[in-house]
Amino acid sequence: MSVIISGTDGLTFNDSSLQGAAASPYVLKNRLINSAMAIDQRNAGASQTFTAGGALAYAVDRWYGYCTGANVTGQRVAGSTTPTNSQYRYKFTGAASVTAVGFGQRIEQSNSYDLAGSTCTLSADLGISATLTTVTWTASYATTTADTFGTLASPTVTQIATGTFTVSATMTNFNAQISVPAAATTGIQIVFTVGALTAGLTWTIGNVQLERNSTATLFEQRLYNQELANCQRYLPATTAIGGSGEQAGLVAWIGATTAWGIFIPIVQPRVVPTGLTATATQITARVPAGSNLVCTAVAFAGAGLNQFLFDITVAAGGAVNASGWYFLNTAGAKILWTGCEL
Amino acid sequence: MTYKLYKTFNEKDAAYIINADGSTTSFTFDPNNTDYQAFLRWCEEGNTPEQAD
Repeated sequence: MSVIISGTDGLTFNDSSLQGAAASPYVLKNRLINSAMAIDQRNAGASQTFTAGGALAYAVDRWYGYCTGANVTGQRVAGSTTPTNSQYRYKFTGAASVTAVGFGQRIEQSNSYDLAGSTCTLSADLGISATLTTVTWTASYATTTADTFGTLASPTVTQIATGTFTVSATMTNFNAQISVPAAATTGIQIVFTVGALTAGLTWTIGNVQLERNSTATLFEQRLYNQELANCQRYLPATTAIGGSGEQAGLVAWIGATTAWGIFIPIVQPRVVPTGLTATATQITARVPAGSNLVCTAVAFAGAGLNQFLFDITVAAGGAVNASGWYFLNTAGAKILWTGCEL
Repeated sequence: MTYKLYKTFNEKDAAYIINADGSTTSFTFDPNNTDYQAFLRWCEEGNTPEQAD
């Protein structure tokens, strides 16, 4: 097939993809973030357990999972060059009695408002190891309040469309067209689900794309740093990549055993964080001209959009009214600020 | 696994839990925080958090 230029249809390429309008000067055709599964601030590729019937749990950045019937595990895994180049994918491993597994992303209003009233195309690389052959996709929008989708138990969404892909063990790229209603100006949710992912079965997903176009186009590859910044709007974090001793923030000592740790985010979060996950013993608080004190406990204390606080507890040795700094003392240590996801 | 309640410095209700990997997850009682949502489900299952010191 040759390239076709049509005054009516636009530009049709030899892979049948259609460019109906001039390319955007800003590269952001894919409204989903971290669809290549490259950013994994929570687990860094380690396995995560999803609790059956529990609240949705975020996994690789921006993507959440859930399951019913029995717990499943999921983790970022290596990708391949087929059907489309991908360094990483996300894989669920089933277990006996599992009845359903879901994997989704909520797109905030600011990044989806303009899709209302248009035709969009959802595409993804999908594969299931055996037995199961159906992956269901569902698109919804926040019913009344912008960026408010509710919980798994009490969702506050209106379905836009749903459909199925017939999937095999061979990773294959699938796509579907979605007519987004004019009312869908409040944020969009995309969820993929499978049924009984029982013991021995795996479900792999990668290179997911939602674009404003009536046909699927090549997956948009984003630079790592750009995607990391996109993700940190929803999960501010600091991670010790290179090893121990990476200074992370300042400490204000308020007692011999207590201090506030101060963290200034690189990317302003979507909303003010309301929680924190960290391993206390991987954080060392420093007293000026004094000792390095390994923390015995840390807890979320408060936050604004541009500065976050956490309580630090050490065994002894703090200096009241002194200031110092804290650092992550182990490679891979991290501090995650939560509550900014949708 | 159990949650323990505490107050932030500005007197907001909060809780924390020690995870299986030794990390601590702490959060204020914000309905949009998924850790708080998990806490609520845990309480609905009949569990009771440890009171603050």
